[in-house]
Parts: sequence; C-alpha cells; structure tokens
Amino acid sequence: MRVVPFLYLSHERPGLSLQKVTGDDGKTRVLKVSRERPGGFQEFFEFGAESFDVLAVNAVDTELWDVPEFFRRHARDVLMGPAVNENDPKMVIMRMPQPEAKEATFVISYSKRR
Amino acid sequence: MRTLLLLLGVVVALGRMLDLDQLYSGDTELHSELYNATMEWGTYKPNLFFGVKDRGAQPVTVGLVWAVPSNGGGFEFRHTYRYQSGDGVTARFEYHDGWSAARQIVEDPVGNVRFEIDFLKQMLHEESSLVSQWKALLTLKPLNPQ
Repeated sequence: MRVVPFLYLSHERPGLSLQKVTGDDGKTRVLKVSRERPGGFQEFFEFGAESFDVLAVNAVDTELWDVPEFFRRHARDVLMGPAVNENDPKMVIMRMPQPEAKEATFVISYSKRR
Repeated sequence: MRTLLLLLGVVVALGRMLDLDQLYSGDTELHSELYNATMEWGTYKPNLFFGVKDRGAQPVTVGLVWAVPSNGGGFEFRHTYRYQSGDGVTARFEYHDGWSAARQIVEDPVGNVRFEIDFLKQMLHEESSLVSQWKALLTLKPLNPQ
C-alpha cells in the first residue's frame, strides 16, 4: 500500500476540546474530541488506531469548506509533521501511519450524553 | 367516477399546498421529532469517498483523506469523488439501509489500497430523549497483495 491516510473532523462552531490518550511508548492511540451542545448535551468523538499524529488547526472558513485545497496548501505540515495548535481548533486532522502490513484498521466512534 | 377522483386529487393537492405554506411560515416542523432524532447523523456526504455529518445548522463532518505518490515526485490527495476523473479510484456501497448501517468499498489502484468502511448507528433512550451512537470501522487492505 502506497498511501498516507488521514482522518479529519471539521466544524463550523468553536468549542471543541481535545484529549489525547498516549501509551507508554509515547504513541497516540486514541484522540477524544468533545463538543458542548444545546440542551445540556455533550458529544464525544473518539478516533483510535495503533498510532497516529494529531494536527489541530484553526483554519479560516474558506479552507474548511475546501478540504482538498486545505491539504494541498498545507501538504508539508500534514505530511511531514504535526504543527499542533490545540487552542479551540476548527479542524482536527489525524495523520494515520502509512500501512505496510497486510491490513490496518481505524475506528471512529460517536456518542452523545448529558 | 372519474370526475370524483379528479376532484379528490385536486383537494389533496390543495391540502398539500396549504401544508407547505404552513411549513414555510415556520409554524410546523417539516419532520417529526422521532425522524429528526433517528436521522441526525448519517453518511450525508455523497460527494466524498467517505464522510459522516450531522443535520444540524452548525454541523460536524468526519471524513477520510489519503495521499498517494504522484508522478511529479509529490503527493496527490484523494478526498472528493469525481466521476470519470481518470485516477482510477472507484467507490461504491455494498449496502446501505438509509439510516443505520452501511458498508462502502473504495479502491485506489495507484495507492494499491482497498478501503472497507463499515458504518453502524444505534439509538438509545436517555432521559426521555433519543440519542444516537455510531461507529465507523475503516479497514485498509492491499488491492494487489503482491
């Protein structure tokens, strides 16, 4: 497989908080993203993989609407290394490891609770 | 009999027009509360290879992008499905029940990768509210194992 896979989460309202779960080896294995919702609800997004880098950006609105253009403009950042700005990000990008084995698996889960 | 049926059709049509007028004035919800709760999240990004989005006014989108080496020595990013784009990427749903379960296959011969994407959603009762939970499992396999 000759690919570098990414997962991303983008939104139109500030207020995301991030929590990385890192193993003893220093690799990030789970990223928890939460968002407050009206009515007392809170949403939780969890991204899981064997390891991945997190790039959280405060992108301008025009870039959010054109994800391929955003990746093209910031290709060096998203490919070469995370330039993490976790201060209320509008887009969170997970750079997954380049799969060399027979199979690689990524999991995304979503829940909403009061 | 035909006249009666025609008259009935006109009455029904007028009734629907009246309902639409009420909808436009904002007095009536377009869909029931149950429908809105169960359809809050879904694969509502048909232009993307994979995207999950909610139906809110300020939605969150979760999506997939992958980079493949290009002939010029750089990378090309795959994200948006383009019909007859010439890159050889194909994408299809093996099944989709419209709201709670889907299985999607995306194949990229240049990157030699096959994405198998399973989406599963369930509804839970929580303090008299219906809330949704979903999971997406993305499995990457080599398209050509050799």
